[in-house]
Amino acid sequence: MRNKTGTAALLAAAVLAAPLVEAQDNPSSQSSEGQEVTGEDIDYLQQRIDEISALLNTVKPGKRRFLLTGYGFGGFENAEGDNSSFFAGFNPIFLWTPTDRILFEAEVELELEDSGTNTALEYAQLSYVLSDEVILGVGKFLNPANVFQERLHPAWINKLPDKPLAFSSKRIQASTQLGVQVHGAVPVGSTKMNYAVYVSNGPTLATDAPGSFGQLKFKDFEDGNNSKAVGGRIGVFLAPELEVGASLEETSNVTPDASAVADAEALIYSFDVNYTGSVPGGTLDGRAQWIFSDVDDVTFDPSGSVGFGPRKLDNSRDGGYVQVAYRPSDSQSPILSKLEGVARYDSVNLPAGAPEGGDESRVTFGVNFWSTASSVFKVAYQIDNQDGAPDSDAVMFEWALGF
Amino acid sequence: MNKQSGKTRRWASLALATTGALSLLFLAACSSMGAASTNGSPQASGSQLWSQNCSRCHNFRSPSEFSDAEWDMALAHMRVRANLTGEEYRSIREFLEASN
Repeated sequence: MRNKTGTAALLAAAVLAAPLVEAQDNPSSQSSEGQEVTGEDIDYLQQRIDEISALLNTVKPGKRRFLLTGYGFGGFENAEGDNSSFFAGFNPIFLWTPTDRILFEAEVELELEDSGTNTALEYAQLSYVLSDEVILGVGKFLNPANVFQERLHPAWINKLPDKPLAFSSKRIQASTQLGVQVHGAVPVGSTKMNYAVYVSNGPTLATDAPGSFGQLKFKDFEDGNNSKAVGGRIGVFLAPELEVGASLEETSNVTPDASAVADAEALIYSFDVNYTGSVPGGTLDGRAQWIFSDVDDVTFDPSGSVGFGPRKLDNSRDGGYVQVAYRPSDSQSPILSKLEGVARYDSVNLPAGAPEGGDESRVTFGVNFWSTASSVFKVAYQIDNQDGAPDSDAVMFEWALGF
Repeated sequence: MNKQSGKTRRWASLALATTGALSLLFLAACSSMGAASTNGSPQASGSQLWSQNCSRCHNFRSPSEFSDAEWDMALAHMRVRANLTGEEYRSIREFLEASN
């Protein structure tokens, strides 16, 4: 497709440019209309075409198929108990497809944090299309068990300025996996099912930090032990607009080798429902995802040598979100058709005695203005409710752009 | 709660997850016997598949926003991200080439 376009452009340019060059370099040809074309004329024309072709070859796109895409955002947040602050970020995504079966994709996250710029490799995955229904992926990839993170987290897609608690400050499910996955979609009757199965480093249990023991840490870039996580997700389209899914991840031991804490098994499973469809007057977008995390009840700081133990937790957590958005896209008003209302409930429930605090739930209302299909200005108000800590209601603004 | 009860709870969780997955398959089978759906079916046009699959996560962009070569790569990215079947991928690609 690209080669066809390139060749056509090349020929068109040569044909268009040749007479101009000829007219400039060989004034005598200006009066050649009606005269016989000689072999010398053809040789001259061929020479000029070759020269122009060579020139165009220096500027035409190469055969490498590379695309820079991504998104950027900036905004402001004023939350009770914290200083208000502006924020900004830039996430370039690099795509390279050397053949129709191979794709390399990588996203770099550049975000301002404290007094510096936080740089992270969001994902870097090499994919090979084995068949119409099977794709093999290797590297650091977005967690296929976590629909929000895999599909909805980019700022220009996420309909609110922040992420649900279960995927941000009180994370209970990984955003990415470092390992290998097999995934794809299979037609089932008149609908389809998608699937993903993966093996990865998996999470690590925080064991020795007084402020975080019992939590699963998901940035296990150098595995703390030889136990790998095995997981997957199945999603089924009950209709083109409605997908329901379930995921499961099991790690037989999440305790780091160097820890004095006993081995602990972890199981994380989740359910999700996703609906996007036309309703009277516009478009309705409904999402729900709930995650359950269950880790063996082990004793932390068993000898008391770290200074906070021995402590034991009923180490089960759950959390997720339910979100509804409506956009009156059928409205005749050019302003109203670009507005979107959003409401979200999100919550995380922690075990009693968890060092990071108590349960937290929030209700967030937002209004978005879509100036283009990939440019959105968001305004939101968040009502926060925390156990054992002051509530932190917030006002947020964000402008995000996908490119 | 001791480790043994944790194991029991874990197996109960696994049973719940398995039941959930089987229920989804059952619902899909029932759905496929019901009203005709266009998703992934041969009769679904490239434009239908394009709008359906894009809008599941974000607004769909105009076909003219990217060149054919750029769509090639963006579509390969979306095939991986949105789990498009090969047939869906080819139909959408043909639609974009024809529309661009």
